[in-house]
Amino acid sequence: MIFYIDTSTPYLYSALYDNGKIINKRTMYLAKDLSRFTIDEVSKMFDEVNVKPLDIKKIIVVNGPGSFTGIRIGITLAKLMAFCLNIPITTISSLEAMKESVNSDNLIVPIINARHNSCYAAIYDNEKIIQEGMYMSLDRLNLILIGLNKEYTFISNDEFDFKTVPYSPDYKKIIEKYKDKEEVSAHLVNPNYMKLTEAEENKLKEEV
Amino acid sequence: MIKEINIDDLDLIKELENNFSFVLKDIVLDMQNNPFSHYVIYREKEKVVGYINYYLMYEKGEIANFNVLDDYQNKGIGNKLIDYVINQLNGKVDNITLEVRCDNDKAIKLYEKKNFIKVSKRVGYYEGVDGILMEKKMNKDIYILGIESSCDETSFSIVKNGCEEIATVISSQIDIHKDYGGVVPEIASRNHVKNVTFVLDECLKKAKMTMDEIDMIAISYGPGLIGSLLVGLETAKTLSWLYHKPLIPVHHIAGHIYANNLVKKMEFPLLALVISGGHTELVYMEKHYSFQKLGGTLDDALGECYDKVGKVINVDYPAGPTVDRLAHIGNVSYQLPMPLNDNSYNFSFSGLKSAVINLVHNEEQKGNSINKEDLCASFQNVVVETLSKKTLKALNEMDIKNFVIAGGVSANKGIREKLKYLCEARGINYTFPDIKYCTDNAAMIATAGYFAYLDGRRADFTLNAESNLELK
Repeated sequence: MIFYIDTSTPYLYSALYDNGKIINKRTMYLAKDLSRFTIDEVSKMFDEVNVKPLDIKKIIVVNGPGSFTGIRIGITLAKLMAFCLNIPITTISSLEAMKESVNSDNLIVPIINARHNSCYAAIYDNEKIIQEGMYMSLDRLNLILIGLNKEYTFISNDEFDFKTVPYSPDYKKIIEKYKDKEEVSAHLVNPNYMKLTEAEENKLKEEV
Repeated sequence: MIKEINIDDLDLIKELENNFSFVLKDIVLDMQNNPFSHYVIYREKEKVVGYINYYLMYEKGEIANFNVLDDYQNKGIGNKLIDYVINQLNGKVDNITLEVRCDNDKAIKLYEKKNFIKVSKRVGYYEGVDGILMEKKMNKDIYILGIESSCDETSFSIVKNGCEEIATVISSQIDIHKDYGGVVPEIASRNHVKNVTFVLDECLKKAKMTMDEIDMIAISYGPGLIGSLLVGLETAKTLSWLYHKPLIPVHHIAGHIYANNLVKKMEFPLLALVISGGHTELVYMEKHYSFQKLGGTLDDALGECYDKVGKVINVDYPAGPTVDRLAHIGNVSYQLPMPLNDNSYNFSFSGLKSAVINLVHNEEQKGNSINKEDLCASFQNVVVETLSKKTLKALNEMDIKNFVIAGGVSANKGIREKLKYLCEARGINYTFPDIKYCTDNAAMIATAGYFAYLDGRRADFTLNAESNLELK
């Protein structure tokens, strides 16, 4: 049994996977209430199909990028669960999860709004990574896309001035792709924020 | 009036039959054939208005049936009946169990108040409605795992019965935040996530205990930095879910006050002077886990004021300990105003802070050098005077059995010396927390958690962190 969780955006995305099937899932818009309801909903998702935490043999958790506070909710839950049950964790980027859920011959550009005309984005051409996920300005992303000279599709649940295709996770596809990937022990799992804190950035500027 | 009835009380059994739709024969048969079964009734004005039926089977107690007539509810009758049973079973049983419908909130609240905890769920037990099995442990030690992450310390601790520390681990980020001249919230949150399982692991190892041996989890859910609080809260909720342990919500400041119970059993009525980086207040406690704020700071917290004064004389963050040390070397020679010198229980430190900053700037402009030691001595003198004045007012006006100090600034030697002197001169019983538990730690949260538990406080999985939580 595999437990999947992603709290990196205003949505709770969670699923239970067993023997080639998704046996229960949660896709909920929680926004500011993410911290309040995540464990409550996850516990209900387990109870509904009579699954006990002890049945879980592996956790797949989204480690970012996205909302800093949001990512920490899922990561904290995953770390504690993996530590207590002594099971491994596989981490996955939110941008990769978004890309997995779309089929297109266009370039696929999962994108998360980081405000101040910035974003977290990656560029994929089918299975090939053209641009690793990173924090960048929208202008820069635009320049990269122009340079690639190919049709592209933005995937996002955030608001932008341009057209995006909404993201709805294909849990089965994501889990099956990542279930045999590299495992990490609970202690060593951390969010991948893709961005320093403002205080750290300012300090770096001072030092330069 | 409470009375335990037997087969000879036929009139009362008849009344029970009439008022609670029992079948007389069933009760009589039960009384005759079941030596474990006991019936207790509550009579008011010659009428049986409530009853409780409990079993005493060897070392186990069970509440089998319990009811109070609708018109007589909310009068404490149920309370008295349960207390009677608990007293009867005390010393005879290891635990008392009962089953309750999961939608019977009123009964569940009452049982929780009596320290029953939810043990398991029986799906569809009451005609499709889930039943909840609740248990009250009798004469058993209670081990509480406390979790604290409200600022820049990640801490776990196990405390027995709210007074005996088993193990505490504190991971402080002070060296990281020093470089920024104060705690950076986002950096603090990131480090909490990084450390959380390491600190829990170390705490359990130090205690030589497993999570299964923990009875409940106490979480400091506010006030504090929201991002930091959330890491501890998600940890607490996850552990509560994984191990079916009750979740006890603890106010961070209640924790600071209860650090004193690890030194000496607190006595009531109690007066607490809370002085920390975020708080400055006088709190009156009539009994355990009852808080009444008498007054507090109208602007800066005392710890904040120390940090700002430290900054103007180039003392590294956190400045409190250094300013305290310098104050002990120096003499009171600079004139500073006595802040909010009024008749209230409130404090104000922003005026004092500004006065120190202005004084330093003026002297610098005149080309005079500042004697740091003397300035610290003068500043701390005013702080100690204003704290003493308001504390004394409370001690004089109220009947206080125990005076305590709490919070990070309560480690300050100058403040301790003066308050100790004040209390000793008046024969007031005082307690100061261990220096290591003045700053944030989970031992104080686990300790307060025990008394919050006795007070019937519980939280479910929807508990949220609150950065501006009131002490209630």
